[in-house]
Amino acid sequence: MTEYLLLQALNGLIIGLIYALMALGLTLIFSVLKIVNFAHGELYMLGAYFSYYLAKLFGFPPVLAVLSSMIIVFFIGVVIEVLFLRPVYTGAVERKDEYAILITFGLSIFLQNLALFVFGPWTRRSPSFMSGTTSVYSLSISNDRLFVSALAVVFMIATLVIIGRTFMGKGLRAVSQDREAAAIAGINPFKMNLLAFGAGSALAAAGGALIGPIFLIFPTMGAMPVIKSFVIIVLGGMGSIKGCIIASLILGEAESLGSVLFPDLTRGLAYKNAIGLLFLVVVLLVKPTGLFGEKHVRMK
Amino acid sequence: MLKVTKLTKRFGGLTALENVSFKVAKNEILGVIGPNGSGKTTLINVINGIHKPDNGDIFFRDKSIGRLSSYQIAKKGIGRTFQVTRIFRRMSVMENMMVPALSISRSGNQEALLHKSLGILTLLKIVHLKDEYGRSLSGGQHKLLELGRVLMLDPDLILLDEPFAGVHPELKADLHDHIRKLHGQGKTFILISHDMHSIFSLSQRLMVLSSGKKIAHGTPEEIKQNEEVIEAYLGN
Amino acid sequence: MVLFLAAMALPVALDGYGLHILIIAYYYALLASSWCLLAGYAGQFSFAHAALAAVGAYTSALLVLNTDISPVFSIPIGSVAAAGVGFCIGFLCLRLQGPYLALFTIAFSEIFRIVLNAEYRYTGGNFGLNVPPLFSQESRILYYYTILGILILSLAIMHKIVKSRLGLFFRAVREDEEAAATLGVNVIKYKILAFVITSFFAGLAGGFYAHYVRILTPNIIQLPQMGLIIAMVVIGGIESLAGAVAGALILQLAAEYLRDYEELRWVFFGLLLVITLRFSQNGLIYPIYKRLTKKSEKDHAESD
Ligand SMILES: Nc1ncnc2c1ncn2[C@@H]1O[C@H](COP(=O)(O)OP(=O)(O)OP(=O)(O)O)[C@@H](O)[C@H]1O
Ligand SMILES: [Mg+2]
Repeated sequence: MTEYLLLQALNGLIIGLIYALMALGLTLIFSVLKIVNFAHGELYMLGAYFSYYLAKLFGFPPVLAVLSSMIIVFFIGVVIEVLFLRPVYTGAVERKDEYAILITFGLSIFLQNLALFVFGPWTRRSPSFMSGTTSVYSLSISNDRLFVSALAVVFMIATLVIIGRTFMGKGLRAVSQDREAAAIAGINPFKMNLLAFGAGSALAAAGGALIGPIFLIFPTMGAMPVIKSFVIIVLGGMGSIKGCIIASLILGEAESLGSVLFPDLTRGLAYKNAIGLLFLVVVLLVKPTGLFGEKHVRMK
Repeated sequence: MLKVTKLTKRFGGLTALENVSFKVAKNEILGVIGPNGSGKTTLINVINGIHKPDNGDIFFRDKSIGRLSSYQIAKKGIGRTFQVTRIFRRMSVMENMMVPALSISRSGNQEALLHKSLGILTLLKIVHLKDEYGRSLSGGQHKLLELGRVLMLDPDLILLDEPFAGVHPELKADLHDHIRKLHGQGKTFILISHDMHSIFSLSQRLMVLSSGKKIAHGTPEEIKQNEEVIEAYLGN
Repeated sequence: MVLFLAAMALPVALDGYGLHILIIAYYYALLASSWCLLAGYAGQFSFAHAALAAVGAYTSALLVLNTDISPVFSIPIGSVAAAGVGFCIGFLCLRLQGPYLALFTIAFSEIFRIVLNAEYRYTGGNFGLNVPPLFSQESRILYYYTILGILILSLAIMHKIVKSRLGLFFRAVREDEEAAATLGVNVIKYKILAFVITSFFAGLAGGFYAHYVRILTPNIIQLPQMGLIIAMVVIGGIESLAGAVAGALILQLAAEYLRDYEELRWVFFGLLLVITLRFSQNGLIYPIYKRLTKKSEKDHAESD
């Protein structure tokens, strides 16, 4: 039993890392644009498909396929920002909050159906990064999972370094704190919007591309993970990067262990997905600023 | 008519109002001045229930209103305008006027209310806009509509937050007239303004806030002479 | 009026399948118009509307299955149950706005769906719940007139609300809660009321649906369902009940007409939704309708 628990805890960690990657993208977008991207799950899905096709059809090595897919989705994000989100900041739409919710939700419907049409309803699986399994004591875990976790951590650290250490990151942080002040200081907020939405999309794509060899790829594959990322950003305090990473790990563990510890196994599995949602509901009601966030962030 | 006792309001670590006490007599115009950020708007927000006081209380006609919600306070006869106007943008001017009208008189007959709001709009010279959407009006027209909306509440006490900011001189003169006329009809006002000429000519008494504290009060003449007030303004 | 007569007469011209399509279209019209009242008029962008329909559907179905009550009574009880849940959501969400409200209602819907799935012993889970029919005769026409009646009655009530003091306050709350409060509007009361009223109609639609299709699965709550409702309202015109109804009917019928295109039609509708949102905040159908009526008024004026 303890072994099983340990294995579950380890799985929880890996899942938590993938969630973290995706939620980090959502956080980046939210902190700069003050928009919850309801199409995030579809960018994740696109990331998985692009990576799959690049590897399968063009013979890209898996890691290169992941990176290329992130780049493609980065540009898709940029196009989405320019075509659909820009009006929020130029004052062309009147009810910004509602417009942003509906337009991203609408995009999610559109992209999902487009994927269904183009890729078909079948499930696929990306080629593996590294075959075999590794055993530590009596626990055995597939190399793919280990590799994916490592890559996820690398992407996360890279993101943190870019945001924390570079000139670009400084611009992003400035705009996320105060658009007008940043603009006065000579930072172009529109550029930062583009960058944040593109990078956020690329992070979602990374999540999808990495999950490809482990789970299945299909047009609605983003539906569940996107909800997890919602849970995470609420739990972590909308827009807080530190909160987002901690919350992802908490969620991954809570789900993996919660379902095992539930007295009745079948229902335990069924309720697994409800745990995080319950967190979300309770946090929104009791402390809408999240566990780690300081203030309620809204679009002006 | 209005009595405010030891009112304190904090936002996190910032004390926006500290131990402010004053009274407003019936049919008086009390002017409130003070540098930016001194707590004038916060004072109005607390009186009309948008913020709850952390300490102290507010009495309107000898009844405490410090714990009431905005809508209850409105129904008791206190109306207010906003420093940055807040018109219902996707509703017509007439609909804007009907919201307060219907909120205070559940059974009131629609005809009479429509008639009344037409009267007020005519007085304010914006009756020709009655079917326009709020968003299509100009800034000055927004100020007028906001005043008109407040009048539909039939308030005894009207709180005006910077009614003259950003309006052109002609309109300003009109607004002066409106305030004088309403004052003549027995209304009581608390008037906030940075426009010294307006506030000194309209107010009967003035109160000066600085960093959330009341630093002076008196007739306009007294205030003009007050060293501390001059200091507060110059020091800023 | 013309439309009403046409709707009354249609069954004569249609076969069973055609009737079925219309029945489902009316069901969506009820969902769309009530969501329009909630989101378009009262400004509460809730994603729980499909879940509230499911509350009505499952309540009514389980009542009929577990007691001897007739659907004629259980459907209204289901609607009241939905209104009750709507009350709770409205109450809990008083402080939540914009994306926070959206996230809360999405989470609520998902939890409800998961519970329906997990408690399969009572709800049938994903295998579905067999629901007794509303009428003992196998007659589509009966169902057709029933849902048409429900829809027209509901629309009449909602129209009345929109034109009344209540509708005015809904819109004031939508525009600016604080300003509305300073003008004497009890914002809390009207926000909750908006949820209660619109949830009732969602529950009513759900209850009818359950006893018409006779098999219920938790999938009626899935986000794509909510997406369909939103698309109907947005394309129709979010600030008009008639627009929402038109959006629902046109989208549903178009989906049927374009059946051969399978997935492609949903791609098209998704694109239409996004483009409508981007370029016309009042929807697609409502402005067209406005223009047509303006024009015909003008024609009248000229011929006079
Ligand atoms: N809702 C709020 N949350 C946090 N701080 C607030 C809030 N409202 C006001 N403050 C702060 O309280 C202080 C007083 O603000 P207030 O708006 O009352 O000043 P004011 O005298 O009206 O200034 P102005 O002349 O610029 O209108 C300011 O420092 C302001 O930043
Ligand atoms: Mg002020």
